[in-house]
Amino acid sequence: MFVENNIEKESLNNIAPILSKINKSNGMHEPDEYFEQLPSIIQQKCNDLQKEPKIPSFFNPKYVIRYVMVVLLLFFGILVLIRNNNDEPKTNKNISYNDSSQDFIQNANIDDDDESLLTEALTNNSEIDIPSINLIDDIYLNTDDIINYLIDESDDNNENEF
Amino acid sequence: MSEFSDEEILDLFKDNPNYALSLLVKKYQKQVYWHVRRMVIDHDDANDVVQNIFIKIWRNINNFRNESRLYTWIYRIATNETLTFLKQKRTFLFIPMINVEKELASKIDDDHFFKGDEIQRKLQKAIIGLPKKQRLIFNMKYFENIKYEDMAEILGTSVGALKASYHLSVKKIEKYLKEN
Repeated sequence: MFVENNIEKESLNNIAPILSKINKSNGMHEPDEYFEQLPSIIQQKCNDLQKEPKIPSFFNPKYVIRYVMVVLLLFFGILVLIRNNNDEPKTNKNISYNDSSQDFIQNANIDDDDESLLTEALTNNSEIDIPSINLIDDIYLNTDDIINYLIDESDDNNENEF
Repeated sequence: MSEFSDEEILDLFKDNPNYALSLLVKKYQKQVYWHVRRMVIDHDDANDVVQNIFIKIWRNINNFRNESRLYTWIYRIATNETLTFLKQKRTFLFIPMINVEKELASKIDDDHFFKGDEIQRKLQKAIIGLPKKQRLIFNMKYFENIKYEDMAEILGTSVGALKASYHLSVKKIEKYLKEN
C-alpha cells in the first residue's frame, strides 16, 4: 500500500506538478459538533419512521397524479360513450317524420318489408309530391282482388310446369 | 471507544438494532459525509443526503448479503444517493448541468463553511468543472485515497477505466490551475 501510494505520488508529481503541491485538505468544514449530533438525529428519524403507520401504496401521494389522470380518462371516456348512445342511429322505430324527406329516402332507412311505414310516411309527409302515382289505391287492394291475383298466379305456374 | 468490526455490527442488528445503527453511523458518518459533501458542496444538502443514506442502510440492512463488504455496500448506496440528488436537482429546477456547476461554484465562494485558501478554492472550482462521474472518481482517489479495486466494486467499473478517468481528470485540473 505504501509503495503503491509512493508510485502514485511520483506519477502525480510528473503529470500535475501544481496539483501535487496543493494541500489535500478540501477547505470545507462541517458545523461544530455536527458529527456528535448526527447519530442521534438519524436514530430519531429511524424511530419515527418505525412508529409511522404504513400508508398502503395505493394511497401513496406520489401516485396521486396517476390516479387523477386515470379518473379523468375514465370520466371523459364515459362521457363520450353516453353522448354516442344518445345519438342512436335512425331506425324504422325512432325516425321522426319531421326529418327531411330527402334524408329519409336517400339514406334508405326504410325496411323493405315494412310497407305500411312507407305508405304512412308518404301520406303524412306533405313535402313529397308524387301526383302521378296513386300508390295508396294500388296498395290497398280488396280481398277479392288478392284472391283472384293468387289464383291467376297459381294457374300461370301450373301451365309453366307442363 | 474500541471500534466494532463490520461483522460485529451486523450481528448486533439481529439483537439490538438501535445500538447497531448508532455504532454503524458513528463508524462511517465522516467518510459518508465527506464523500457526499465533496459532490454536493453545500452542507445542508450534504446533511439531507447523508441522513437519507443512513435511513436507507437501516431499512435495507437485512437484505445485505456478505457477497460484498459492508464498507463498499455503504459507499455504493452513498454514491447512488448523491448522484440521484444531483440528478433530481437538475430535473426539478429544469436547469442544464452547466448551470448546476455554476451554482456549485458560487456556493464555494459563498459557503461560510469553506475556509480554504485561494489555491484550494481554485482546486474546488476545477473539480466542479469535471463531468459528474469523473469528479466522483477524482474525489475518491485524490482525497479519500480509495484503492482502485474497491472503487471498481463500488462504481461497477473496471480498474482500467477508473485509472484512465483519474489520469484524465488530473490533467484537466492541472490545465485549469495553470490557466487560472
